[in-house]
Amino acid sequence: MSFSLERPQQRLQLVAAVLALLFMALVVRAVDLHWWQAGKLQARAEKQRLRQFPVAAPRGQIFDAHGRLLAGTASAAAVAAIGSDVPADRVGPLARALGRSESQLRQHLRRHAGFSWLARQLDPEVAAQIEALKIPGVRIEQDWRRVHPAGPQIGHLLGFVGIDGHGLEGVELAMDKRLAGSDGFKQLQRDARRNELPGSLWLREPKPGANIALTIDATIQNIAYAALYEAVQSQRASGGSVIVMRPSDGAVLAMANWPGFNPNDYRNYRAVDWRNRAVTDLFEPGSTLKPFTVAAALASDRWRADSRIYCENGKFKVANRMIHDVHPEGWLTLSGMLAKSSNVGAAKLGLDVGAKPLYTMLGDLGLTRRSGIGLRGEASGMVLPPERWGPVETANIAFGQGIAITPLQLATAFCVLANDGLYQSPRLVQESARPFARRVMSPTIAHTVLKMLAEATGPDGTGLLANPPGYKVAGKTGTAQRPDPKGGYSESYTAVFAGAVPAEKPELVIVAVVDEPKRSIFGGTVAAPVFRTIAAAALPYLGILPKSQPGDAGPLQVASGSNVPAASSTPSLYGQSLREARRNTATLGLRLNTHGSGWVVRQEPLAHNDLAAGQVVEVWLDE
Amino acid sequence: MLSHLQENRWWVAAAVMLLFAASQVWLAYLRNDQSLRMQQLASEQQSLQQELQKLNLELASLANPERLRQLANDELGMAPPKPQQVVRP
Repeated sequence: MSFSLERPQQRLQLVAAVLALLFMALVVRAVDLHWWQAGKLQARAEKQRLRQFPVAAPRGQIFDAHGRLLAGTASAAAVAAIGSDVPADRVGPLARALGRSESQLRQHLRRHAGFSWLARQLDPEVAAQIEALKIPGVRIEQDWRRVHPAGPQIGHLLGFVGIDGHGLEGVELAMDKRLAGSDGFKQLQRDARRNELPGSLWLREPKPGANIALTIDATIQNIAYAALYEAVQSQRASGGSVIVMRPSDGAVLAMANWPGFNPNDYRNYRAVDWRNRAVTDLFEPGSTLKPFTVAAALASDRWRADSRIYCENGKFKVANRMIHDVHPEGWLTLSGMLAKSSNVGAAKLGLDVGAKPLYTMLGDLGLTRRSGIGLRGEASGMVLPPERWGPVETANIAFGQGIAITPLQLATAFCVLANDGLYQSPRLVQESARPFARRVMSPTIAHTVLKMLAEATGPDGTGLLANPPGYKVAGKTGTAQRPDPKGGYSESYTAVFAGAVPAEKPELVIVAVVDEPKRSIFGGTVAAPVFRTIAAAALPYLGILPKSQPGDAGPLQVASGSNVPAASSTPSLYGQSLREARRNTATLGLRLNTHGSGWVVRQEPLAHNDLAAGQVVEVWLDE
Repeated sequence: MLSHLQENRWWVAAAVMLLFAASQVWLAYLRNDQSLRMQQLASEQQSLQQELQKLNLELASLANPERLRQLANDELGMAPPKPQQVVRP
């Protein structure tokens, strides 16, 4: 029987066969989709519906000792692109919005056909403009930008954060683990309109970074920075560092360096300018080391506070090396030796004490190792091991040559004198565990040396200019030749002043280091005024008022505005110019003896209102 | 009444099922709606937190001691007290 479409039954059979075939094909396809390709297709569907993305943990903030914000994170935007998806005719508007050249952007997109960042840490306003362009392949992502509101004043200490949100310098680097926290990972379901559907879950919750409170006081930091800037400018110096510490607990209240460095704009500075000189740079402490030679001598029990030492009229030969004094002296007490800053006296004292006890004293003061403050790049002191100390080395080190330390080490060592002979590691973070204070010298020795240092800032001392009006300072000047790269000494100097104030009960230890000053080279004229400026502003701020002067009823207070008294009503001439001092003493019929020029920093007698006409008032003026 | 229900039990069952289905749809809608609202609130919270952070940074910049010192100097004519400005209480 032949097949013919003419017959209805056979037509029906054909249609049925075709339908059966189609049904079979459908079944096969259904099995293919639901069985053979099930895994792959399900994964694709989930990829469309579910999205996993990282959630950045906000970086912790940094505060000063009084809760003032020193570093925080501001919201910013980033622009990302899939190079191959960006239409060629939209590159122009995109480049204009980004502020980049069109050709450069085209080249970038050609080179990065896949994902790449076009801009990071953009202002959200700029990002909104780019988003409004609705360019295929370009999307806006959340980004963060680290902001340091105090800028250059504290830049070296805080450091900065890189584009990946991790610290690269300073406290930001040293405390990165605590500040950074850990990013989270979230999975969410979205509908066709990209709205989040219920059922999102955290694969890993983000842990925000911890906030850190430093011991730094922003006000004192600013005072220190301004004082250092003034000194560097007026002395045409190449740079400098200042450290202010509280001796009782080793808290660092200020750490400033010059030249300043703005952490908000760190890319525009050379890497060498990022360093925190106060902890990375070594310098010869010069005469500021002599108090510790004296302390070692007192600890040996062979010397007493009133012992006298012959200073060889300024010339003393040790082995084949001649040691000189700027001001030749004969017999001096230990106090006089410090006040006159005699190298010969210190050298003879060091030789008598011996290499090992002197080295032990320096080691106990923390001058032979890192302070442990926790900042990266901190230098340990450069001190020869005592086995290599011959007489020349011992004599040199006794007056601060042939040894190199950081300003922080020097400040910490002075804190020992100001803290009854107890060593406290310097602290930068408030809640950091405080190790037990370690005794370096007896309280008697510390007090004795401090008293000697108070004389070193007296009228006969080299540190007279360090005294802020109304306070007494116990400190020491230092003037050290800077080493040259060939191994000898260059013609440039480092001027240093280190001291504690008030001398009777020290509340602050301040170290000022000025590198390569040009107008004067001496610690007493370059660095001591930095000390005075900082102490004069920081002590009243801390509530430590100037000591009353003889004839006063009580502590002095600062007048403001119209309360400023006429000069004639003041009991002293402190702070007056030479002309004012002459006029005021002439009005009272007193005779005036002057030393130096500038402003009155010291007066004998302290109050002149009880003097009779014709009597003499003696004043010392600084420059 | 009971016999009436028994007579129309299939219709009743269908109506109950329809009610369940409708309430399921309604619940899903509510869920999505709440989720959307939560997203909006979370986004609002985040943007407020960012704004707060921005304002804190702005405050810190404005209250920076160096800026205050300059303002006091330049605009108010203030200066650190000189020793002769020290008086008895």
